[in-house]
Amino acid sequence: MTGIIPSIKHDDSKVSKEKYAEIEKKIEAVRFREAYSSLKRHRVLFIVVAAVMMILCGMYAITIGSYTITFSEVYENLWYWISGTTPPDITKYHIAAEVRLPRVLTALLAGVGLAIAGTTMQGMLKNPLADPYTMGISSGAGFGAALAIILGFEIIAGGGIVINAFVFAVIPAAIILMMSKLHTASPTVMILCGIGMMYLFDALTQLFMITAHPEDMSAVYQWMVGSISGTDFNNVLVILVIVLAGSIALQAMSKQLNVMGLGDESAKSLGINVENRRMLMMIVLTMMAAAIVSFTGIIGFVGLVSPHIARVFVGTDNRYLIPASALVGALLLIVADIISRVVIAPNILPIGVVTSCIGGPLFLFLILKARREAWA
Amino acid sequence: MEFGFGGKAMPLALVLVMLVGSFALFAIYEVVMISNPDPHFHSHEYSISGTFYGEECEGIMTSEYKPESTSEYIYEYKWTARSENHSYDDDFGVFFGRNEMPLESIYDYIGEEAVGDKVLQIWSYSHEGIDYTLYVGELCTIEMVGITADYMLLIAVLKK
Amino acid sequence: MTELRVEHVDFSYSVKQILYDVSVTFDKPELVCILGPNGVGKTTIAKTLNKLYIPTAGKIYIDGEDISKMSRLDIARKVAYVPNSVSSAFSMKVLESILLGRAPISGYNTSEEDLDVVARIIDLLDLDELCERDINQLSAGQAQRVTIARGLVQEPKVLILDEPTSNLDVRYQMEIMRFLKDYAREKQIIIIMVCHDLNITAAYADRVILMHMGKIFADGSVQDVLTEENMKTVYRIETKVVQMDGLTHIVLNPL
Repeated sequence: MTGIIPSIKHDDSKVSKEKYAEIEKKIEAVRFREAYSSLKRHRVLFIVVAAVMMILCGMYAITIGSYTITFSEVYENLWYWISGTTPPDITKYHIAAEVRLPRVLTALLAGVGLAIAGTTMQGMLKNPLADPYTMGISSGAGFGAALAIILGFEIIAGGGIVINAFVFAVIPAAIILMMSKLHTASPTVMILCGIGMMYLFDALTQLFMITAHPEDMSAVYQWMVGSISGTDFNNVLVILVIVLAGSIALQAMSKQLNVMGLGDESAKSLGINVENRRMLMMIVLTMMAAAIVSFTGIIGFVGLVSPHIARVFVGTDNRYLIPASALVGALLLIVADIISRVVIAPNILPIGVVTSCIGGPLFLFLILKARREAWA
Repeated sequence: MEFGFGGKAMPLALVLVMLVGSFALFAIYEVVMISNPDPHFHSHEYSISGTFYGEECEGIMTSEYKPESTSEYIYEYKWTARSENHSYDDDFGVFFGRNEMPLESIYDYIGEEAVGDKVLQIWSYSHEGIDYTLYVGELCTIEMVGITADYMLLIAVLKK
Repeated sequence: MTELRVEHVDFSYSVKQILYDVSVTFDKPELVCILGPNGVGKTTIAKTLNKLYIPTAGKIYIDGEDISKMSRLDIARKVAYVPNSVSSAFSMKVLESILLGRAPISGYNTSEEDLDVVARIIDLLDLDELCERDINQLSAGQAQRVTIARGLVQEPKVLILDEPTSNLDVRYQMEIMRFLKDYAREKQIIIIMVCHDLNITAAYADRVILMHMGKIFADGSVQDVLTEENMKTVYRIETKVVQMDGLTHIVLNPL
């Protein structure tokens, strides 16, 4: 440690005062400053590139589908939509602007929301295997959907599957939050409760399935396997508002999430009210994930894998990781949508399967790669 | 990336379980879907007869279900017809909501009519100068389509 | 000058009482070492000073304000705590880890002032070479310096360290102690350190607090506190305390 006065005899004299002044005048941490600027540059660059790729893929995805409509027809009709002019061919317009556009927007928003929820979950629970469904959201939502489809039981009349799925998605998380208020809200406790909730609601859902008619059963499975093509513009608007609100809230807390990554003691010493923050983040991300799941069904792997991919490029600073993950998630879902429509065209592969096929191996690859580095 | 608990095998095992889980779900889904094919997923052929500019003509119309959306039943209709000196072709879409009714934002409801032993709902749709009259039966199957324009009077009837 | 005042503090952990009527005042810039056998409550008292632990009785005041009524953020603006070890599930770079210490002071964005303060501390602790390394790839000594750096960039009035040198070799231990002693004087802050090594404490501490069975047994200068009788009473060891070149040395008599 050459920067430090290495003498053993303590002698508070002018000697050390001068040495101190000397060190402080010399500038100073050159590598640090360079490293910091370059890190920032790289991170911003990745985010910009990811955003551009997402937009390009989205623009391509809108032109994919089994209905006969050309590339230029799609964009013509989108232009009519933007400018508000009456389209000459209203059925083609319907396909482009009222079926495909909501579909791609849903993919985008769901990808963003699930990825941000996953990133926050992983940071908050300090666990690389956490994803938005860790708190039992998917099991709860499945149960709610099954309830609506098989028993016709709607929590709010006219709310249909969506409201049911949302309410029941939130219930496990609410139970966990209440339990962690009684005990301390430690990450381990939360994860264990989440797993417990998952098993409970899965079991209940299976119970219903046994008693169901075949058509109802297929409807439930269809819902569970995930789909982004069932939304209309009003749905997209709802999802947009919720994802936007959730993302802004979580982004605002991203710096605190960074500090929480040091551990509860250090975080408290740095001024963070850890239990409160964790609870708030949980509530926000649960609402966001539950809202998405209730419209799209259960699309797995996006929330789990996107943060890991983003982390490779932008590191663990959540102020960059959250937007980067969001873009990766959106990209992942849009690409999955394209693949799901192209692979067995004109039939569609369920999107949850495609995300598993992409996400699973990707995640395995990341795990294997990481461990090799750890050894080196 | 550090995996605090379980070391090496745990995360791998967990991911494999997740993968197997989603494939199992997909397999069940496929089995269920195959054993319960949705009767709305259909394609039909229609034979067209009528007049063009006063000339007799005939043609074919096809309808095909397009899996674009899970909240609507979407069908693409294409037809061509020819007479001695003229021919025409067109395509249009018919979209039904989950309630098996054409979307009110695009099609206008006219009424109902008994044809044979069925009661058909009548909807209309206009497109580039051509008026289509859709006679809708069950399961989003259109039994007949009337195609009229200034110079054209055609009827497409579902082939049995 | 900041004043940290502990008044009649008790602390119990479920049924076990650890601290009994502890009262102490810190109001001078100096390096204070808290010594005592295992389990005597050294870490406990350190953690009550920034509200990591909440006393079951008594009050703690910083600059006249009762810390039980202060928010964590307000406390963090005056008091920094450097734990024994930190682990994180996700790796980050050293420079990012140190920058986190600015959290109580800076807002969402990292300001120029943040960068300046961090740069200065990085120089003082000679961490510039390491700043781009992963924190999980550091040696124990390096990691400890990083943790201390994170405490220092907080620019606290009171710096609390919990056995910061327990895993380090003797050279490191002395360097850290030397550094902290000078830092306390230069920056006019109170540095409170939980220690375990008697001789190193004797070489550097400005003030020693010796704890015994949850109470403060002795509080004063090195010569006043580190006496043969005190060693015998508190640690139950025989020692010979020797003054040499103005330094106090504690020579151990093997059992």
